[in-house]
Amino acid sequence: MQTELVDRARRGDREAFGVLAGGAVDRLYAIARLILRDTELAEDATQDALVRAWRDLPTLRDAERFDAWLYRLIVRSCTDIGRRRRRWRAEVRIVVREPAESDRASELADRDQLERGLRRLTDAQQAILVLHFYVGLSPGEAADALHIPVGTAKSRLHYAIDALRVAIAADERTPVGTKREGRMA
Amino acid sequence: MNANDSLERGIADVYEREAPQRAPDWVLASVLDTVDKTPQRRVLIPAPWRIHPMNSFAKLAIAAVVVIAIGALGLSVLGPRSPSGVGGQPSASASLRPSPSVSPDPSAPPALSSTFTSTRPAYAISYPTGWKFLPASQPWKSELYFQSPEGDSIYDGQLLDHLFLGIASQPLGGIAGDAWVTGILGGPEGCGEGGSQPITIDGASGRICGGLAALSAADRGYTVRLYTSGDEPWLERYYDSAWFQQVLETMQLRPEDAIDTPASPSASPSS
Repeated sequence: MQTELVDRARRGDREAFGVLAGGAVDRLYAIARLILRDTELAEDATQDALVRAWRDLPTLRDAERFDAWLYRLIVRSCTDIGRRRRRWRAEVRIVVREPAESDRASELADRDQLERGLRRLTDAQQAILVLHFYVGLSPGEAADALHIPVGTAKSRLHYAIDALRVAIAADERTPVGTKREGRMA
Repeated sequence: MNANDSLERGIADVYEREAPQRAPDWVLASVLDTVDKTPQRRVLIPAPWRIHPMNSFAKLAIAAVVVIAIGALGLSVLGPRSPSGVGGQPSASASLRPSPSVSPDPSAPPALSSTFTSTRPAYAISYPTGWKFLPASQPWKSELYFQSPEGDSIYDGQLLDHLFLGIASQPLGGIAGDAWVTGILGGPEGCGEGGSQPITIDGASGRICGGLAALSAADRGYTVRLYTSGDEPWLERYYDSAWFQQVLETMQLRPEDAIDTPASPSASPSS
């Protein structure tokens, strides 16, 4: 059914595309909201991704890959939009993991810490986490959606979790009242 | 449960709690409104290789082989002529000669009296008087289409993406010129080496297949595509392979001047 709609939309059938867009908009919006962590930007990214989908549909050769292709478009839109906003990088871009501290951070992580930690990740890290933990894609499926090698997807996922763990650890060290959001408009 | 499980479950919980259930209705309405006014892209040359996820080594090897460019060269003032103009209509090849002796037959393509000098793919080419162009602003890395930022587009101002030339180039990256050319012509828009003909443009050898040409010069591969829309079948009567070769013969390649870095946001001249 969806494949037929995609084929029709690819040939310029706007009505068919409307059905596809209607079925995907909520999912794409949720993904964008989780990656960008900003309602207005997520709305922009969702519109951008769906308009791109319409415009570029003739380039999609395999209709059965429509869903993965949409994920790629929404991530790309989030990346583009995220790039436009200035980003304040907290001092959490630590490369070397400290096992004892990191593990402790994992154990102690609570939701608030997690949320603050997630805000400090890059858009690329956010994207792989959202596709894996929210959409439920395997690393292989996420790799397909992001158009990256499976190995890259796995390592990106690994480093995203590590970065989150480190961010949480850094958050724990920050005195109450001095915690920063990690971004500015 | 170990620390990793705890953290990963925590991430999933946060996402589940934060994810909105519905997008605002106006988002979809706005999309559909925009779609109503937005044409779809016409693919000139799809990426010759479907870039499936691959490891870095394979990617490097393949990247060296692929490339494509497209540009655009367009036509001008051809009003929708009827393809049924059989009686008394000059033959396509006869009407395509852009020499000064060409009759002012309105069905004839404009003379190739204008010259476009490309700074990014690096070449010069003659194009029909009155056509417009949009230069590439990015290196060529993926599919090329009308007014793609990765290729030059030279087009008729009225027919737009129904009739245009797309031109792009990229470094061979260690790949033999012949192999690169074969890769381009073996793509979905090509006809393979068997169905193509050898050509020499400005001293560079390559092959041509219908409206698609690929050639290598120095350490660079060039591709040129003449696109005539199937929506306007009469175009092929005039903008055929003979016309295309005529355009190609005006090409002067300057691989040493090519630019393979993204343009600064401020630079993007268009005719």
